[in-house]
Amino acid sequence: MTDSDPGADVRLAQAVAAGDPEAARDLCELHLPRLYAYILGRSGLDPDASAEVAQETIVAALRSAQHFRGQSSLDTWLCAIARRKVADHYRRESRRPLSLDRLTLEGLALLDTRPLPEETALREETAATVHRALWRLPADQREAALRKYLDGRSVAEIAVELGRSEKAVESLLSRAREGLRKKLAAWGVGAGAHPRPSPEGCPGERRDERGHRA
Amino acid sequence: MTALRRYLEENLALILRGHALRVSGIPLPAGTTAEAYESCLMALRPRDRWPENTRVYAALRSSLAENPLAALTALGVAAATGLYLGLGRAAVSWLGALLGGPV
Repeated sequence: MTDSDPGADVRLAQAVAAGDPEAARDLCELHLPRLYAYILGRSGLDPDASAEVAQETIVAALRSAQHFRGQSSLDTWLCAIARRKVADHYRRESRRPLSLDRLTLEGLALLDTRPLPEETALREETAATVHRALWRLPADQREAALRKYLDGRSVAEIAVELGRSEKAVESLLSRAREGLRKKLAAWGVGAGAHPRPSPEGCPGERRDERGHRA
Repeated sequence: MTALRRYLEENLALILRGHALRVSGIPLPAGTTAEAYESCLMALRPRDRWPENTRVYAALRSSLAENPLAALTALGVAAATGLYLGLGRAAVSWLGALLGGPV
């Protein structure tokens, strides 16, 4: 997300807080597309769920606009709200039983012993499972892991962004990896785990250009 | 553990970045912005239930958002004054005793 004019951001937030419908429209039109792209790329949710979370984020931002002081850009502030909304979404989702197809389970089991075959690593189901496990981690561990593995940041850079020491960030990353391993193991994934038969899901299922299952 | 850590690290980046690349460029589903705007209008709509539809409530809410301590202090003073004027000195003394002050 790029930084926008801080003065404009504060003015927009104040207008939204004052109940100006035009400001609400600007908030939606200017920020919703980027917010959606952020959520889509980072959360592992499908396009429809990402759009839903983006909408929830915008409404939550509108309700708390009076608290925006311009210390960060509006986009950065919205992303922080979005992360909480994504975590809430996964918490609601966790009450539904997890369904993993056989190839994904077998592929993820290989994580313990050898490099993941690229084909399996790139499968949408693999990404969905890893995201689901990631978003169940505590927020600080998850953010450290996403910044390192998704964004490619160094430990030093992450330490600055999170306001922690490098040692603390190393610890967060270590706990995040351990937490991921445990969550995947609890779902039947990992060395020695027996893949559970899935009631649905066929290997190699296709998606259309919008990322939806065809 | 070192080998597991290394393989997990290599695969995490592969999985997460592969996914991000796959979904980049997928457009916002049609109608999302309009729906979001409608939701915003609903959230902005003044409530039509008492006391939320009163100016006093709106002013209080705004004050609480800007300066909670000052707003609560003002509310406390107003309540105590109202109690004194309405019920007299005895009521204020009783309240003071209840809160642990001198009788």
